[in-house]
Amino acid sequence: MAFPSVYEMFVEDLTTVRKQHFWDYFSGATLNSRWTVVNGTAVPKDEADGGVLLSTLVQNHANTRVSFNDKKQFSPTGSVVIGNFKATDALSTSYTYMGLTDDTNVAADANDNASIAIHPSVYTNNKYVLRTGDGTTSTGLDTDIAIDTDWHNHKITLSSSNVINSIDGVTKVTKTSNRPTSTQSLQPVMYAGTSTAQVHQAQIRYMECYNT
Amino acid sequence: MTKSIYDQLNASGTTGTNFKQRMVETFSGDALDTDRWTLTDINGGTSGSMVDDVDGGYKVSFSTQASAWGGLTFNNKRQFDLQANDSIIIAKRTFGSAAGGFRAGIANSISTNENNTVTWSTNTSASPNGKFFIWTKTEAEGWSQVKVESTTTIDDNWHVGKLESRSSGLTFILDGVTAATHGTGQGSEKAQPYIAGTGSGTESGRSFSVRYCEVYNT
Repeated sequence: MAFPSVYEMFVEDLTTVRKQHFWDYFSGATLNSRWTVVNGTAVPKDEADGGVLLSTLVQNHANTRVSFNDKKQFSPTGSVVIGNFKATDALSTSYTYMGLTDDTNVAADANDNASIAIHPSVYTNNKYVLRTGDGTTSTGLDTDIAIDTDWHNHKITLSSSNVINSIDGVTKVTKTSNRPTSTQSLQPVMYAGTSTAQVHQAQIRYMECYNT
Repeated sequence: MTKSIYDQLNASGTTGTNFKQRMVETFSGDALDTDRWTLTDINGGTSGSMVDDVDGGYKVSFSTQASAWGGLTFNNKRQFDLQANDSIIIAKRTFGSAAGGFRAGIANSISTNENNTVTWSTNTSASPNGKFFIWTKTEAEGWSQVKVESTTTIDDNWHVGKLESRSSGLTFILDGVTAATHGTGQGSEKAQPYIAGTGSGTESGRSFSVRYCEVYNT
């Protein structure tokens, strides 16, 4: 079957007015101008399947954030974010996040957010963690997948009752505590940080967000 | 299993020459993609910004200037055929009781002469009876303003409009339902996406927003 339009791939007839929806392949000579980079760099990687490489500055607690610069078009209680990314090192002093957030500094506790976290100094079981925050407190829930430096597909589904995470197509955890509040809209974020004066890098090659 | 967007859009065996120009824009991000779009200030009083709100898309606002007029174009990079294309656009007007609105589709011209423009419109100043309508002005029809009304009253809600333009005529589909047709071809002219608004008055707060645009040649 062939669809007449990209629109109709997602909504098979035009009686439904689609909500906000974007995707990015992180392919090209530069990072698309829809993104804002704060601190560090985010540049396309010159390698097959490389996507975009985030690199922190070499300083204590440096972090690099790729976001919509606080243009928050996604719902905390009815949205999906999908990201294909990896951390390029497994240092205990580095941390990586991908998901939706109120504040681009997604690692800070007092944020509304729903993200996948690789943060071994905080989540000490060394698993990929579904982390959510309600604007006051952020907490994590371990998946059963050990953190590594491989590419994975992460999907986070936010509803009015819970936040669900799947990794590589398999549902891993459902979280009901400390979820983003219904009044706080969210933006996509990819984040790499380090607690010591050394570069931490992460790569992302696909991201998609949509309201449901 | 289908693995590509190309395959999703084309039946097996479709040749490369049959895959024609196509663009998709989701109006998501920190700012308008100005590699692609130009905010064209057609008659003054136009500004625009990405909206910081759930499902907000991109908003084009008008000053209190009388006949403020402008919107989004490709700045005369015209890759689409005026009478052999589909356009799908999600947009809404925010004019309240003020006269005016947006029109969405494709256009050869981005000036006030509106030459070779094929759109659907929410402009209450131009609509004969305040309904959504097909609005064209083409050389093929002697440069006359052609307006074909639907039965749906213009409002300030989000709508998805699809305009199918062929040599045999136009079909305007509003929220999935055929709303109006016009049985005349528009001429094979080059054209660009066109989502522009105007208001005849001087009220403050007039704007329109757009969160999806797809245009492809057929």
